[in-house]
Amino acid sequence: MLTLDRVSKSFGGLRAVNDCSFEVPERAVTGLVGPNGAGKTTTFNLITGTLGADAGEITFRGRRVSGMSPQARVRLGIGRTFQDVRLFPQLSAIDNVAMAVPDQPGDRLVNVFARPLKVRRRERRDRDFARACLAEVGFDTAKLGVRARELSYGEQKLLSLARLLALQVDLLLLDEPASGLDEGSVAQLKSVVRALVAKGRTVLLVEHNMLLVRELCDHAVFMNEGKVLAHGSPDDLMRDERLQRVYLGAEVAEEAS
Amino acid sequence: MTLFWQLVINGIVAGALYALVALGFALIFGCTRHFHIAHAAVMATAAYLTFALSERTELPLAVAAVIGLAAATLLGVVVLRLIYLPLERRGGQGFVLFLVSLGVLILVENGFTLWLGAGTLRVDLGGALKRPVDLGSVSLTTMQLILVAVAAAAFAGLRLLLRRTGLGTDIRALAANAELVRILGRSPERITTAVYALASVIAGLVGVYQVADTGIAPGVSTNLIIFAFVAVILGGIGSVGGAFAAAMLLGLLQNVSQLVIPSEWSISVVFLCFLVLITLLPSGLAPLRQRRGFRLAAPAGDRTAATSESLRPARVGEDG
Amino acid sequence: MSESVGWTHRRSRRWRAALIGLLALLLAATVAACGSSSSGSSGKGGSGQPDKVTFAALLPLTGPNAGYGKFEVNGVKMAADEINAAGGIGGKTKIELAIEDSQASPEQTVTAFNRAYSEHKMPVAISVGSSSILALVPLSKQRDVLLLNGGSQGDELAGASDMLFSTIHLIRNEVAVLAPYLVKNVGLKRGAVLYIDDDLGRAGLKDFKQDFTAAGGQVVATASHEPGATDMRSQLARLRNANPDVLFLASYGDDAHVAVNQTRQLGWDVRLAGPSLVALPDIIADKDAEGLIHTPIVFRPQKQFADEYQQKFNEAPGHPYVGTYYDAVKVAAQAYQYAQEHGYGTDGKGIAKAISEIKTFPTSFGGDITFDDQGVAKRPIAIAIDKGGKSVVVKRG
Repeated sequence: MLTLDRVSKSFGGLRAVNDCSFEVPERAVTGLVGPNGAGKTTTFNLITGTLGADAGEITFRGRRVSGMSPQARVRLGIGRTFQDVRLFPQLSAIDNVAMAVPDQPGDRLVNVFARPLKVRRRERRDRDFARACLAEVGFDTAKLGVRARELSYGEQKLLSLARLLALQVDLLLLDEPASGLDEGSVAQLKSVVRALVAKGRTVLLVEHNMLLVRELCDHAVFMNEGKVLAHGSPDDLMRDERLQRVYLGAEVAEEAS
Repeated sequence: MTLFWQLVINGIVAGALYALVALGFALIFGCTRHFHIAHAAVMATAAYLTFALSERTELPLAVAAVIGLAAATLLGVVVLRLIYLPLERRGGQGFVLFLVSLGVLILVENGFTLWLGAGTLRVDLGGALKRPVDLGSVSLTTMQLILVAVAAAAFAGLRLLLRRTGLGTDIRALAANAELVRILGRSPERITTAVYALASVIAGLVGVYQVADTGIAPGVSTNLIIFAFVAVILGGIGSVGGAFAAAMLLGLLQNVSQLVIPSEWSISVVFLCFLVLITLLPSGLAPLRQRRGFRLAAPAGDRTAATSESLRPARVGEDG
Repeated sequence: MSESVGWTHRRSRRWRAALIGLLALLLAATVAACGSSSSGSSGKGGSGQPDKVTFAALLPLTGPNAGYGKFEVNGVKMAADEINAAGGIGGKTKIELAIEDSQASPEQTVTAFNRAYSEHKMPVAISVGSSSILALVPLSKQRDVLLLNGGSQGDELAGASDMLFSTIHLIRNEVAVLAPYLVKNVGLKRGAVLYIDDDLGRAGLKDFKQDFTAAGGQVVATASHEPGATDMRSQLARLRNANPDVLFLASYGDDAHVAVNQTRQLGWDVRLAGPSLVALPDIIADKDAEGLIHTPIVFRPQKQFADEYQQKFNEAPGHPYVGTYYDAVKVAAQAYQYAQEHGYGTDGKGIAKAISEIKTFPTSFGGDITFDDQGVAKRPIAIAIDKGGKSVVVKRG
């Protein structure tokens, strides 16, 4: 579904992503794993278009997307969450989600005044949809009207997931979705991700929790220092000693010795 | 006492005029950080066109005013789409944009001056609207009453739009984080266009009022925009309600101060108060009275709080 | 009739004025740097009377005052043409006009003066605008050029230079007639003043205070407005609160019109008074100005003059400036001839000396004007009242 072909990105002298190639298969969950500074979030930014690649090509469903604006990529069907959540702090939970519903006629001031009924109807529908998205991720319905900045970190995390659902994209990029969530919420997250795949969506996630990756992912891509070192099933990767050495660090090395 | 109340009424009328200009200016500045001084040109366009169409052609005044308003709105949007946005795409922001905006203002004002002359231009409303309404010992004209009503309606309407409509949500989101709006697949440009159109309609109303009441001349709209700017700073950047309140305060101060201070000092007094207030309250009046949902964007402190709170510690080394 | 300098000032807020000043300075520097080659002088022959002399007319051809500039230029042209048609000054010396655009701004006027001087070395310059003319004073002394003013009424022009003469009287001359009339003839004892916050307005205030009090009246309140102000309601409310019998307006142009309108919009039907600056045709025609007691400058030229003007410029001589600027050229020509005959030399100083000696000159207004020792023309000043949209003279000067 999504292919990265020899993609590179440097910041000054630092090669954050270096000649990186991998494929994200359709209707499956792919995990992007690696230690801090491996280039995972930069890869996300390159896929969604917040950053432009220096070299290489990114294709989505056979269409070359490198060079497109972030907006255009969203419209093609690529959406994401952020590691640092990134909500509109002043907007209520439901407004944050409603913001993400595509094709809003109320964007145009002309419509607000010329076709107020149509805009009103659409807005009601969008809000209903936003409410459904929030329910789906298990967001507390009593807090729909609470401003985002007044929510707990876990709630903000769920909110950002609900917002991604509202985007109605086919490829969902999740940047550390489970970090900061309690057990109940993590279980909810898993069921949401599985439900998405069952509905034909594709998920690419960055995650540190290897147990979760193993449980949730069909494939995994292992990155270190901007390079793809290995890919395969999570179990295969877990056995890869390079991964053990680099990622699990001294602890594993000690055990082995 | 009578004089005091008369000055209060005059202050409210003057404040209403400043407030209408400040509303649009605050909306634009809060959303985009564009120092849109050409907002004055939008106002002048409505005023001059209303004059030209009603006095130089056979068009009835109401039709002239509507065309003037439409043209003003169009000017606001055209300046944004044809000048500001391309400029921003090429990296021109802040002071560069302000200079370009000033250029637009000078061009438009001089264009109208060349066409219609530098005298004060006024449309004749037949006098009825300008006759005083007696309110006991104080008086104001029907025209002024209408102005105050329009300002109140614009304020309430804008408040409702920002809080209750999808467009309002979009505008508040844009003010908070334009990049995030883009990442959600929504077009900041389109929302900004709506903001400019909205602000320009309000500025156009001011223009039409000006030409029908005291008249339009070169410099009149620039003068108003300076007051509006002071109101926006005083009200707290990003706060439309604060700008409105500050504008009313400026009007009142300027007029009521004449009770004790000679009128040639009243402007100086207003600016002195502004300096004192802004020194004591660097982020303006808004933090004094946080009105829920009517702020466009969080004050600087707020916004960082929301993100840093969500940034986990010990994540400093992570890429991106 | 409007004070030209005020007209430019009123349009510019101070910061704008600073900006424009800077631009003008740059422009002036450019012009100076380019320099204009001086070619030929006034064609003074070796002996006897020269066959031509240049008068410079530094008047607003563009800018906000161009409307008045047109009348001023026409008056100048008409006088010069008339003299030349009769063979020139003394039947010999033809007048050549160097008409330059001053925009009635001091910077532009000085630039225009220098340009005209470098080319023509003229002995006479005719201009307008108090600040502009005051800016020319040192230059005129240095270059030995006589200055003539036909349009500005600021008191500061009086005695500003022995090389300067005004063919229009000043605001103090009008107030000296108007203030006693208000007190003694109409019985208005309590006066209030609304003045424009510039040189002319402050001069009007000072003159009125002095003359009104001297006549037995009392000034009970004063207030100012910014040039170009559109809202004077609070000032007016404060003046009303002092309960005066008469409101004296020391303002001009559209500002004066705004003052008149807003007085009535407050529901205040006080008696209004003001100098000729206030008595604009638009204001006189406005119902709100009904009863305005003023000192008009009535310009009713002879039929022959009117016909000639009509034929030349295809309109009626619609403004007193036509007359005052026509007179300026006539005064200069007559003094030129006098200076020539008395051997004073036909430079600026010689002509100035001649004017001081001749003192009394005929005018296009009908009567004579006499220059006082401060170089200001004195003419009879009448009192008029706005009745039904017309200025009706109630007391001849």
